[in-house]
Amino acid sequence: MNGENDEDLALEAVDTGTAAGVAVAARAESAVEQLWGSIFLSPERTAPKSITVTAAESREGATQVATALALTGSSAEHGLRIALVDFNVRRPMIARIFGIRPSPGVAEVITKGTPIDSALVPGPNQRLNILPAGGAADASPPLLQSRQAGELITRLSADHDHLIIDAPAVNRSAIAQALAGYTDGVLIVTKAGVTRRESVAEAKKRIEYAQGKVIGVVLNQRQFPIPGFLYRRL
Amino acid sequence: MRELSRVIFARLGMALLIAALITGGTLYACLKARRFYRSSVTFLVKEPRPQNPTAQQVSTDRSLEVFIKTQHELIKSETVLARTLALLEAPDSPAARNWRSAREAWEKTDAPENWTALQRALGELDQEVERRKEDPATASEFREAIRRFRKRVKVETPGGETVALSEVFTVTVTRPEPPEQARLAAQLLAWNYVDRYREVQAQLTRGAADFVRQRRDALKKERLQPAEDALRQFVEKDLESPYDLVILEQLGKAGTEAGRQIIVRKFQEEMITNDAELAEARQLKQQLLEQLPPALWDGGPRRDDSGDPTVPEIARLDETRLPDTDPILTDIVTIIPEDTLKNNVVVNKLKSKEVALIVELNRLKVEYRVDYRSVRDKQTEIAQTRRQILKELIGEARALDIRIATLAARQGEIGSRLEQEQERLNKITPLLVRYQQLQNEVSMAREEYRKVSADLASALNLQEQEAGAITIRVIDQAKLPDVKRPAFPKTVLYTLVAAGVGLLLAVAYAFLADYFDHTLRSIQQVERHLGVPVIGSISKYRRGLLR
Repeated sequence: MNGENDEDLALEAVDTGTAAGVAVAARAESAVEQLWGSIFLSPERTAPKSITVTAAESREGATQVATALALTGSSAEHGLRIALVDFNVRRPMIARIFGIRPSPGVAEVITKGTPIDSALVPGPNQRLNILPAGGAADASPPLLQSRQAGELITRLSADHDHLIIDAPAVNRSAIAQALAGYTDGVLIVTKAGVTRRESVAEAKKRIEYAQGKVIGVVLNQRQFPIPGFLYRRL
Repeated sequence: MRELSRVIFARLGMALLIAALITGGTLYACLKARRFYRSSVTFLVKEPRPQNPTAQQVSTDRSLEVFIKTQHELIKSETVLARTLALLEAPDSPAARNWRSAREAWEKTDAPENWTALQRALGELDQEVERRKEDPATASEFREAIRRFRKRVKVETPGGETVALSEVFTVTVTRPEPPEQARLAAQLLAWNYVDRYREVQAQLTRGAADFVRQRRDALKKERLQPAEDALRQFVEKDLESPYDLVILEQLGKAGTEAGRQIIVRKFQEEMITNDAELAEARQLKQQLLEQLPPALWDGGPRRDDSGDPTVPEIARLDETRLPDTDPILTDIVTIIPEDTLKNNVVVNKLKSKEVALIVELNRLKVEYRVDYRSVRDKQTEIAQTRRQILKELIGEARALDIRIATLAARQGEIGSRLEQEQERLNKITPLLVRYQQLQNEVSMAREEYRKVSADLASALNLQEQEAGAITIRVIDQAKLPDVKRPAFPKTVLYTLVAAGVGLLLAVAYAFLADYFDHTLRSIQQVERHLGVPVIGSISKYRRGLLR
């Protein structure tokens, strides 16, 4: 894909109400760069191979963050092979964002045994591979917990430098909880001023219960109410 | 600091809205509210100079404070407020018109008749007030109006309402628009207050004097006059003569028994004097008669039946019966008692003449013979002188007789008078106690009456003083308030206060909202509440968002 497509993506994202996230993703702005650095370039610990990007509640911008991270990692600057997996089977978004076919995807790979390679779709650049959610009608948590999910993650991890999984909200679905165990780290995206702290704490508890590791919280749509000139003086 | 600012700026819109609503609402309310205006009258309390040393001095702080407080109550009294309100609300009623003309007359000249007229007008006004208070249609409304009016009347002294160390105080009235109403109300209130003060003052002092006067009149009617009447009646009816009154007085003065003694002794002394005189007269007569030649009696009795010496007849000395040659006349020298010589000038002269003649005769006898004519003439002259002497002596004895008779008669008279007197005393003495009681009653009543009269005089004096004691003068008349500066609402002040309150409320809102807001907004919050690091944040608004 080229720059024009990026532009289109952004515009479409505005229409669907996810403007901020997409704009961030498309532009690979410094905020995402920083986020990338915080996750994967930390000198204190080894970089996680695979991460789950989720949220406490739905519509918090986890998909956008995941997308932005995937685009950043696969950009020419970083030059890494990234796999972006959409486990958001109930409300698949990634296919729409990238304008690719929605299936076959995760659901087909796990339940029907569709080969992963045939389900993978190349992203806007060569280094990015996208696995859409697929026909999710009959996808259910027991299936996702199954061995196939683990295999899927192992497979994709082997083929790519990093695996980024877009998971549904922790408090809405058990999928994220299940995935937390298979991935190296979990990123909780929180929409500033919307998500209640109790609900985030609950999500964190669930993830930890499932042996997952919470890397950190991403504050999405954070506002800076203090005017800049004043903020600098305080 | 950033945290605090964040709290406020996070909800700046709502906070500003709250502040603006409160400020704007207040401003709107101020502009739309009914305006009240204020007008005041300043009074000066003027005391009289204590020129009169007996005048009470009221200028101690304490009494002045009491005075000012009293004025405060008086100004806010129902009567004053109701009168003022009646004048304000019904300026065209007949009572109000009457009052106005009477007040103007009084204001011009403070003559007593003007004051009487004003009082009459005030009486009418009071009736009008009474009518309003009793008429069920207006009663509650009127009472409510008085209550509101009272709340809007303020009495102040410099330094606050409670401090009263000043001789100046101000009455302030607040009334709804138009502004003229405030001035009118203040003016009417001031007048009514001053008039009321005068009324009350007059009533107070008049009361005291009236009380004393009534007491005096009652005393006169119920005690003094009855006592005097009883005494007069006693004198007129129970005593027989005014002399009895003198006796009673004497008895009263000296005590009953001593008084009696005094009166009786007087008679006794009189009687003794009389007796002495009588005895003297008798003795003199005796002496006189003893000196007379017995031949004069001519053989008649020398004493009468009662043993008193008789007086010879004077006719025995006639020349026919007693010639000059009779030895009685030629030889006997009558010795005349000293008293007679002293009392009777004629006898005295005759005696001297006789002595002189005898001396002459003796001289002649030496020179001449006895029958010498001149000697005989002398002898005759001597005889005639002696006849005259004898005549005089008999006359004297006669006079003594009469005197003796008179004295004797008087003696009897005195005795009977003494008896009468004693009888009278016996009759009067029992009356003495009653007389003294009456007398006492009268004098006590008189004493009391005198005292009360003195009280009345001092009360009247006091009334005079009090009437002019403390005068209240208006220093500053009520002024027309400035239309642009109502007492209420004070638009600028209220709006400023509302703005302040609004800002406070806005801040309070911001903090409260933040306190109850559990959403995560800042990195600090996440780390504090979750213990998880924030590894990234994405702003909502960024420059070049969609470029």
